[in-house]
Amino acid sequence: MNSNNETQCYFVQLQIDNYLDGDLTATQQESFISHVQQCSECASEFRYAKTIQDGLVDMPLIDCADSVVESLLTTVQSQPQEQPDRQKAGSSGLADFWQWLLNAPLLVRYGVPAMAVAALAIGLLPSSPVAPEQAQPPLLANSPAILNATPVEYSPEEVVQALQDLNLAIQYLNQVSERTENMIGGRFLMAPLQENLNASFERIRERDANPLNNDPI
Amino acid sequence: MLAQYQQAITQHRQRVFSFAHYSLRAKEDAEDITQEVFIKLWQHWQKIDHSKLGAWLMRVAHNAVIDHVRKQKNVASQTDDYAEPEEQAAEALTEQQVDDGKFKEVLMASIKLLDDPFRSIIIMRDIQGMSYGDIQHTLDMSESQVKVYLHRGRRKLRENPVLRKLFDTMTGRDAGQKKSSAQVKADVVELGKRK
Repeated sequence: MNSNNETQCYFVQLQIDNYLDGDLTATQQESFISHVQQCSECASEFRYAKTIQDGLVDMPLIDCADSVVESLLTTVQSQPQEQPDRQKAGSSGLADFWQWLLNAPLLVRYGVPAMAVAALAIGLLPSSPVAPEQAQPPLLANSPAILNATPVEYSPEEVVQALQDLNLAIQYLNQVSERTENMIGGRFLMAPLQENLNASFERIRERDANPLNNDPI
Repeated sequence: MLAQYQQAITQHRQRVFSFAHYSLRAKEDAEDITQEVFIKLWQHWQKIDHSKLGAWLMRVAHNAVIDHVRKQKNVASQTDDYAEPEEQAAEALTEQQVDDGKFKEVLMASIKLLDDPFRSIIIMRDIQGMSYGDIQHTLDMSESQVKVYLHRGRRKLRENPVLRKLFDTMTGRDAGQKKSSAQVKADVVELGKRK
């Protein structure tokens, strides 16, 4: 009976702060109050906690003397101020852009980088065939041989022929690339895989041929 | 900008100074902390988020108080390596203040003896009436952590032997004048009504 009371007292005293903060439910509050009204130890503990709580709540906010603020203001005006971190702000903007791009629809997600690459490529190419000297490096552009040379002009047939040659070259490069891939795959992937499989089959065949290997013991 | 800065000082100086004062119980130290906090505000004025200015100031004040307490402890350990500062303070209270019956003064002294974050959370919540959300932002803790520390801090405060002795003296328990059950019942009902 005594230990039961002690347990009850223990739990009630644990609930004192919750009661003071108004965190108990109506039922818990009722049972708390009824226990405290019957148990003098818990009532005393509750009064002690309540007295401390009231003492804390009654403590006033204290203000510092005006002279402190006055001297602060004179001190502060000679103090330097730190500037906002521009680099950080820039990187945050870039991060925001990446976040937006990742959440954008598929067309936008791939379209925007593609357009950026295209814009970069256009920017890197000579902007106009009319003034090729602008694309020359400055040292070459200033050499007299270049300055006196006339711009080379190509006929439409020559341009078509050049494009055909270019296509042929690209086709050839594609074929070479394909063959290289096949060769690498065959040598480094297929051949070892085949060897491993053959070795496994060989082992199985040997085991089946020897009846002792099939002995369950 | 200076006008805005002055406005910020006017708005927050009481809270910052009170926090430092109740944490350190020394007017000059609290003034130094207040100045330090507002100088930092000036230095970081263009970098801080002004929508969370109150929490920022309290965080700086909290850090400054912790540094100050640490320095004080170092000085105390250099002067007396054998006595614990808590014991010294408790003895001083026993001799001087319990007899005077100044419960609030003893309570303030007991708050100062608490370790951080118990002390800071009790000051912020129970004395300054800050919301759990503001304390959470100031101390960079979750709300449940703040509540746990608050309850543990209050319990530690109640466990202070000097404060307990003073309360017992005040209520007559120490002199063997135990109240009757009817008196206790009446007290509880009265406390419930006051709440």
